Amino acid sequence: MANNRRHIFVPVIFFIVTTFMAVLPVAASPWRADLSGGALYAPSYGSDVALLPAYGFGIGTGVELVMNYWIPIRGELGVYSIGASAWDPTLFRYRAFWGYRLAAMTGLRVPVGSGELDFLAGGALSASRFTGLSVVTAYASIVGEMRFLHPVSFSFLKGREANIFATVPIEYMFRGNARTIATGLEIGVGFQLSKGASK
Amino acid sequence: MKGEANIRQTPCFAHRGAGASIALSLFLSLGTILAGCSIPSSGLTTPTNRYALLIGVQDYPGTNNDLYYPDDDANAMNTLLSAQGWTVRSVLLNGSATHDNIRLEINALSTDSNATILVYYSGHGSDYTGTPSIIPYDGLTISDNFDTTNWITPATLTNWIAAVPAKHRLLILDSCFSGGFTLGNGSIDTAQADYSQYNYQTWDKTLLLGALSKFGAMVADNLSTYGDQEVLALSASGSEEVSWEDGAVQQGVFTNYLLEAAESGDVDGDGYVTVNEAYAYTKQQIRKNWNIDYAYSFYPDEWDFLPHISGGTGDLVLYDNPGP
Repeated sequence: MANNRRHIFVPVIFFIVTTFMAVLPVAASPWRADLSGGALYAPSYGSDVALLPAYGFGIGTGVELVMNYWIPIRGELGVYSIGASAWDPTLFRYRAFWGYRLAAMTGLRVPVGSGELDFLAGGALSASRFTGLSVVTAYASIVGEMRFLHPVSFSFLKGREANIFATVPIEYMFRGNARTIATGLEIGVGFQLSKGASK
Repeated sequence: MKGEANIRQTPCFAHRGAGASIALSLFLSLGTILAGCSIPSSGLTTPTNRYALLIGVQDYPGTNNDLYYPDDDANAMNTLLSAQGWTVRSVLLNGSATHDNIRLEINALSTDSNATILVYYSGHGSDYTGTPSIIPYDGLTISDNFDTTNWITPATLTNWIAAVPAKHRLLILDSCFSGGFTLGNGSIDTAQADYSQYNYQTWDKTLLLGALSKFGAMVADNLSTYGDQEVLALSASGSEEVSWEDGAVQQGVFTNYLLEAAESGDVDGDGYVTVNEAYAYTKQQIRKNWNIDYAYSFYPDEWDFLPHISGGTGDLVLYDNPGP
């Protein structure tokens, strides 16, 4: 009985959310693009290996559709490099790796003063190579972002809205015998791809 | 099989485009610098539960297939690893290195689930059966014929090693076609299986593009293999190429540089020589000192080979007391 209630709970929530979105006034639906980069803390662990810290950095570009309080779709293409991890007492560590990541996310926009706070979540696929080796791999991950955007104006954009932002990303990577959690701080700049107000 | 030759003394020519490599190196080094600056690498103690099995087969039954230096290789590894704090459980040489003895000694390597185990082999390897295999003593007969029933394939050897209670597993092979033992672990090696057939690149764009076609398979492997027993493998040569002995140093070419790596292979200067670093050092030295030819860039020859390394996310310290 309890399981049945849980199964019902999911479509009820979905119904409430979609109804809420449907009744919202639809303003302009501009596409935004951005560039960002930052430092990452990316520890890994295994089934019998404790969490071993590692550090790295990433840069990326994103394109997203903005609709009122929602970001229905955001695509990100990034490149990253993570150094080798710290040692564990058995003189084991995780290899350094780098690669390209393609992510798709969706999320919520919350106006905060003149800026906005975004919460995004989704999935990603990465093509990766172990640094210094000729061995390549590919893996999936779950990604999320909490992002604060502050509006700015650039004269060369000729009236398009622009913003600078700070992002706290989080990614959980399914890397075979390792699981890697990457988080950090990224800063970036974004702008509208077409003129129009985003609310 | 494995061949013997005296080292050639012809100079080597640089041959790799530098521009793109420099930009890529700068990018990659930033990640490495971040890690290197932040993570202390000293203060660890040498574990006492690192166990090794060393195998060297040069004197096969019959007379036509004997090698010259595999027992020297195994004995030198014994001396070095013992000095590095490894416990060498057993050294199987020549007639004692039979198929069954190898299986039994691997099985007896450890009962400690926190141990690190290492299996080293120097001897013949072959792809005669279509699967790269190592050839134990009883893999050849007194009449110099193959007894392939005793050859040890990558799947068999990996299963034997994976079944041993241990936390980390390392396999090092100095034999022909040994790259066949470095495959898998949710990854693909983009270095050529036969280096001499290509144009002296250490990785191949065609193979890289081919790897993209296996993107989905790699993702699926990496999603499903969490908790599997992984074997970190380092091989002297690719899965389609021979490796060599060197009369000048009286050892396998690969093993000679593997031993040398204990003193010279600490690339990042952290006091440890890892398997990755040993791979990088042996590859660099074989390329520089062995894969040399009068017309180096234009005429690859059958003597040329390069080490390979397996996928997987982990790296292990091989030597933790590097020389000055």
